[in-house]
Amino acid sequence: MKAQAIGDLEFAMALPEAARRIVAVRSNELFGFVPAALDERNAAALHNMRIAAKRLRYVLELLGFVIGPVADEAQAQARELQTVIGEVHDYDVLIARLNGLSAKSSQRGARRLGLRLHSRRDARFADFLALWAEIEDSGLRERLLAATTLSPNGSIRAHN
Amino acid sequence: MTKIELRADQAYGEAARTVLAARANDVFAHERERVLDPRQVEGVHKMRVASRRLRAALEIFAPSFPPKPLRSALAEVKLLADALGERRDCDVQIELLETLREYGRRSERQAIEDLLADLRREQQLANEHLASALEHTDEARLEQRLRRLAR
Repeated sequence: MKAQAIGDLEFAMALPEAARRIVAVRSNELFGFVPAALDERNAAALHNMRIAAKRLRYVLELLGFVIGPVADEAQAQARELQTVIGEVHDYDVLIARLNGLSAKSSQRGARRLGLRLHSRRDARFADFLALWAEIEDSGLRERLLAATTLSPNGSIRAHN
Repeated sequence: MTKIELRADQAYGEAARTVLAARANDVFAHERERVLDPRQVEGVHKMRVASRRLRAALEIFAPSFPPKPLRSALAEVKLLADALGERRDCDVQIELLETLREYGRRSERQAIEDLLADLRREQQLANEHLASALEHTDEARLEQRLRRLAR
């Protein structure tokens, strides 16, 4: 998934202003995958959401200090998302491989393994849904938005 | 990972150079023998993560660098990251299957062994591809080009 370009950045710009723009774009990328990623059949949206979580985390590692305490929380939640979605993805890949293999292996064994993989995948997807509900309930998106729209003098300003 | 301390009184472009220098350093700090040893999965994992962090940094700081050298460096970083990812994906799947085998029923074992055999072949191919990508990185003088961008 190609990263969204961040507009209006210039070499001489003050770092806090640039940081707010960057974090705002990367946050919107992540939150933009809902509701698509909550549909358990939409593996592509979920996988892209993981990439977006990773990008947001890497940005916050560098620029979070400008955003304030919400940055640490967002970074931790992005890491959790990355982990749990990564596990769902690993099962998706393995299930696809097994489907391609079933003709070779014993049908019964492959079927059993398939059931176990699906059951583990479902459990991890349920963990993802629970984590996402927690993130939404915590108002993280709104707090990130507020932190990235405050200009250095405390006034509210609009950006992309 | 190199610790980077940016300051709020820095300009965006100045911060970009600091970050690029540190992130490039993290990618090239890894020993090739370790990265190319399929028995040591951490080496490739850490180099891959470093390459991802470098890409993420290049993407957000792009306007600070001359477009042409940046585009070409980004393309090289992507090639390297893809090769690292290809190997890492095999490592992850093998690890997962080995865990499943440990706790699996006997009837599942043949399917697991068949999957493992396929994956080990793919892992070897991915490792050969990674070795070529690392050689190409040297030939393309990627490390030096990134350092030049960061100056």
